[in-house]
Amino acid sequence: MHEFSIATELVAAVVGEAERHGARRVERLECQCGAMRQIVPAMLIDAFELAAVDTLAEGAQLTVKTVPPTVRCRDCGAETQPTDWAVECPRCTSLNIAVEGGDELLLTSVTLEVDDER
Amino acid sequence: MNVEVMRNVFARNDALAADTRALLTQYGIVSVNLIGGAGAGKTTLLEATLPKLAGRKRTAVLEGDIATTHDAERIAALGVPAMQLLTDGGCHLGAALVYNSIQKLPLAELDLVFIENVGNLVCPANFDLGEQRTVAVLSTAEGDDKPAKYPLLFKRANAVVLTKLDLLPHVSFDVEQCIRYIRQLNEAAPIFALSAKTGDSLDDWVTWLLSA
Repeated sequence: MHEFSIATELVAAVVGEAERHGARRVERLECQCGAMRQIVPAMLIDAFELAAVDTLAEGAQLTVKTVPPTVRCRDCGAETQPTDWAVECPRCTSLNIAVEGGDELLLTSVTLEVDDER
Repeated sequence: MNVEVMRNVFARNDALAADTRALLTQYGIVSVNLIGGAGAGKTTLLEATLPKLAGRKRTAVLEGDIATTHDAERIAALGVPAMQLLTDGGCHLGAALVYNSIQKLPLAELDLVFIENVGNLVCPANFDLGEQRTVAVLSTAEGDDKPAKYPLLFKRANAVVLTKLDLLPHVSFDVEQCIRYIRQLNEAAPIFALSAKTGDSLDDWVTWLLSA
């Protein structure tokens, strides 16, 4: 259940964006989570809802996009992007793989409610 | 109003971690964040390591735990300055707690500061504490497939210590298989297989720390 710690950081990040733009509140936000972070999107969304209470992000709608890592097989050379975290090459089942990326955790888009939208 | 951003979710934590790193660098201190599961042998590793560094590096330990001051007492018994950081149930150390605590250490008198994280393979892997070296600690009692199950830690680690090698005859832990899983994620990190309890094979680990 590391989702709550991450949700707390996510609230701080999105509230920071809202304050920077003088927003009244956050309506929606989207984040990209690398599969290696092992985040359960539904749990992150629930945790975010709780962590956002009494902040500018209270009630904001969070969308979580999971980003797969790139798995490069050192034996057969296949490059795959398995949606689940895998320990073998999906093509030749070799364990001799190199896993790249999939560890990102980014806030990618924020929709803010501002007072004087022109 | 829609804002496209590309912002690290951990920006707040990472900014404080950067402050810690800058402060330590200013004093010429190297800090080592030890991350491993509960009972992996992190404190025992320190108990075996610290006496070997005595006279060569001036050390101190920040002991992260959910509760009790047991671990800090074990380190203090060696004559090494130790500070207990209690998270009161929190599952990992964060950069803010470390930043505030590290300033209470006599920084001008130190070369190497160990930060023993809360026993947990998942949450601590997400949080930069401002350390120069991240070390994953895994014991043979936990199973050789742990790097595959907790990839983020093993990807991030600058070194991996496999502890409790003395238990190998009693547990089904395949060292080669474990190393294979680590190498899927991390080609560069040195891997030190040792027993802190018997003192077996500690030398390479100590040499690595001396040159860190």
